[in-house]
Amino acid sequence: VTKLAPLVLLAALVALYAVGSLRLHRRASRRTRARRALQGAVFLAGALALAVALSPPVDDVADRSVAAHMAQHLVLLVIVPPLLVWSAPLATLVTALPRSLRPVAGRAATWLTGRWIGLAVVIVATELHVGLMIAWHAPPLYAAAQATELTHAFEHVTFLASGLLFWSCITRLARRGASGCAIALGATVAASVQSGLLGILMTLSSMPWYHVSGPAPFGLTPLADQQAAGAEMWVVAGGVYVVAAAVLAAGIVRAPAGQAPELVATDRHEARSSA
Amino acid sequence: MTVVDLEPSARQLGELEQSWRESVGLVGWLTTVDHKRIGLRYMVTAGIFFLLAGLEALALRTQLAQPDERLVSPETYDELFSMHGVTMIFLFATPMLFGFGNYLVPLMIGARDMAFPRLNALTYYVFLASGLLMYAGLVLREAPNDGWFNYAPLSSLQYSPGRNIDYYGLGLIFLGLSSSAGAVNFIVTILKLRAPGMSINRLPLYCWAILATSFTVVFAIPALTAANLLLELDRLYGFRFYDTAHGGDPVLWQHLFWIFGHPDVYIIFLPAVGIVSAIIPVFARRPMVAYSWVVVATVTTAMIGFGVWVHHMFAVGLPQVSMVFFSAASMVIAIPSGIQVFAWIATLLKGRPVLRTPLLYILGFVAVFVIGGLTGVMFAVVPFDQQVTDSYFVVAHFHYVLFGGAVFPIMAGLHYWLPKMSGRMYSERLGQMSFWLVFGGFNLTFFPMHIAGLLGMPRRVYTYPARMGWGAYNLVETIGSYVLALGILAIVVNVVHAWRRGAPAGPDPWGGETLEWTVDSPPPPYNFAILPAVRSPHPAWDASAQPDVPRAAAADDRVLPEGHRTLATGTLAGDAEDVIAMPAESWWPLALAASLLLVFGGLLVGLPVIAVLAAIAALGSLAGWHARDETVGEL
Repeated sequence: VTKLAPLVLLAALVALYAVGSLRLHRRASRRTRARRALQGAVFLAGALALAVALSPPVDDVADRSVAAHMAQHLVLLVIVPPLLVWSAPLATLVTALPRSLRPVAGRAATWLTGRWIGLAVVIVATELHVGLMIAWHAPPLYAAAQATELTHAFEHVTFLASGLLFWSCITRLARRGASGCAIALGATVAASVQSGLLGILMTLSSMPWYHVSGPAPFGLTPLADQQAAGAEMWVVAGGVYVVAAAVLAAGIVRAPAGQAPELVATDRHEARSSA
Repeated sequence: MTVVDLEPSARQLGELEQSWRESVGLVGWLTTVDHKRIGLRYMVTAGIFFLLAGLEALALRTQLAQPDERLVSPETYDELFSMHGVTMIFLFATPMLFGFGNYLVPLMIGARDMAFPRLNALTYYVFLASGLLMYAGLVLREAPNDGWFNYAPLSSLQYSPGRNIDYYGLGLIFLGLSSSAGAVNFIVTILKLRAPGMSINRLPLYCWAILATSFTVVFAIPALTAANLLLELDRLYGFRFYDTAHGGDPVLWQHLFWIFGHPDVYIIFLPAVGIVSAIIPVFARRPMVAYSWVVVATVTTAMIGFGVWVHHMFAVGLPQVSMVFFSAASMVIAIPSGIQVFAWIATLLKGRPVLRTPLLYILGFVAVFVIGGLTGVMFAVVPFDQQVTDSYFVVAHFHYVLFGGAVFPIMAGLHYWLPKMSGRMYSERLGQMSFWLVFGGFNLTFFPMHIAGLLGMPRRVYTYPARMGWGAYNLVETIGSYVLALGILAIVVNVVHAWRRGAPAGPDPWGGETLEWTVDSPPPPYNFAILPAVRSPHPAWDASAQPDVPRAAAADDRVLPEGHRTLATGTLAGDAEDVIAMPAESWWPLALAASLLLVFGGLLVGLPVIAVLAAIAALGSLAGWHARDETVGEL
């Protein structure tokens, strides 16, 4: 039952999104329709990735292989959250609600996407995101998560929630000009270094860390299985962070130049701007 | 809007002269904190190390010219190739590029000095001292002899009982101080001392490259220092970090070394391509194409450089599964490099290129570097890598990457900025001749190495038997190396001649793009009489767009004539924030560097007493350095 519950919830969410999209579609102009179509596609991609990661067959392989389990975790940590956050689905979801609930839900959504992120929030979000990623891969916690369906579900919820928090900080900072992009770039680099460290240790360790039930798939030895998991974490997660860093660096460079300095009121360098 | 050209009054110029004057003679020479003098020193010192390492290479090539040659002994050969590598990587490439950065960054961003002028003096003295320390080994015939990457366990006390390896270990820990401090200085200078209006997206691409490099240095050097610290603890005090028999692991050395070593490729390459991005727009007579793409490529190159060190270790026996990922990651680095190459080519295509010596060297760089990059992508294929590891194919590859990627741009930069640094012009004819000698000699030396490597010739052998059939390739390589040496000699002659009696160059012989071309050649000690304000990424072109404008007297807040002062600006927006006082000349950097030399020298010769006493002296120098300084004065 616990294995199917997340899928049911997800299906309900997608249904809600579909209703909201239809309602908004009728009111929208042609330009906003194109934008909404793109956002909808990204949202669906995120939901689909989440559904695949949590589907029973994938879950079964994940029980037997550290590498497959890591792939599942990476989808929850660095694939689904950026997609969902970027598609900004809250407005659509609120529209799908009955009229009476909309004001409350709308206020909640406004608060969630509000301007409350400062430096402290970004640091906490980054460390939560990476800290949970590292903590759940410590052998005792890894075993605890595998022990019962409930703890496993809890692990996944914390991954997804911390991922959503981190990536929503990044996307919102990215819209705040050069300084926002610079802070987000710092957070992304910090996350990549720390998650890379876990990947490195897992890949280069000479002993298996985890107890895995049953034979590993793909004919891998337990150690090779773990090494593949480490390399996934190092290179795949690292790759996502590098792409994010590239986008943020572009954001820094492309932000409009600062105000003209007061000192130059009578400077010849104004030749261009006045011409 | 009225456009007015500001000019300083005689009083303001006089006060500037007064407050930025340094002592004359030997005292001034030893205590200077002027970034231009320090930058030139870096370049001259690194240039001398380059010539020394070149002579070592000539000795190697002469030994290898024919099979069964007996010119040098195997022991000497080991020392020569190790010192050649160590010198080129640590004592030439990085310090030379730091020298360019030291001279150019403050001028390009419109500042009067580096952010920490005394630290700047210290980094030079530490570089010099560590270089002398390592070369003392060669003079005493006990130089490092385990190759430039000094693998354990060969470098452990058991297999290298002499002092040779200690010169390497201690010398590099010492040098690491200089590189790290220098990098911090660049970061703060670029982020805080830019001219008002130079927002981060108007920062010259050369300074972007130095910024990215400096961040890389700050994160990469600790790995090298850690590796050498563990090695010296093993060697001097009987620790067992790299000793398998006692639970250590020699592969740890390889990991730590390459965690530094791969980013180091970019520490050398990024500032060199920064030079390329500075020169191409000027000689193409148009702004750089895709400025923001080049910046993003620079930043991502620096980041990816940290994630791929394992590809230097494909033949070590690491987990098979993980290699797939590292192989893929290593290929990814071709993307940002490719973006930059295409941006340069597009700039040249869309401009009206003027083919002078600097641009010739740049074109040589593009050709040579692309070949080196191609063989680099081949190495990312694990089976191929395992086939050619430690053969001459590798030697050919990294010379194409490093000579192509660093020496060609450095030579371009040397010819390009020589008029600025000396105030005089080099001979264009001799310059172009030197290019063809260097380019031809280089390819003649290193291209046949690909073939010799594929035929199985291993690197680091002092000779080979005639029946292997490598003789012809090696003879061609040796002839090529002498042609290359002739080219380098032509450059030296050209530079020295220009410096002494070249034709006056004037402030802007090239129609330059960035701020250094708006001041005299050579620039005055305070760089800018009027602190510039910036309106675009091409401030020097803006200034020359309107030559005849009315002149007005500059207010004191644009000149800051009294005291040793410059402007501090916002990190990203580049708006004026503050006026800061800069420290003047001082003996303390020299005293600190000298005490540190004694610390490392004492450890090297096995006299810890000297090291401890020198460490106390170093702390004393630091205290003196930070004592209240009357020359800085109040604002």
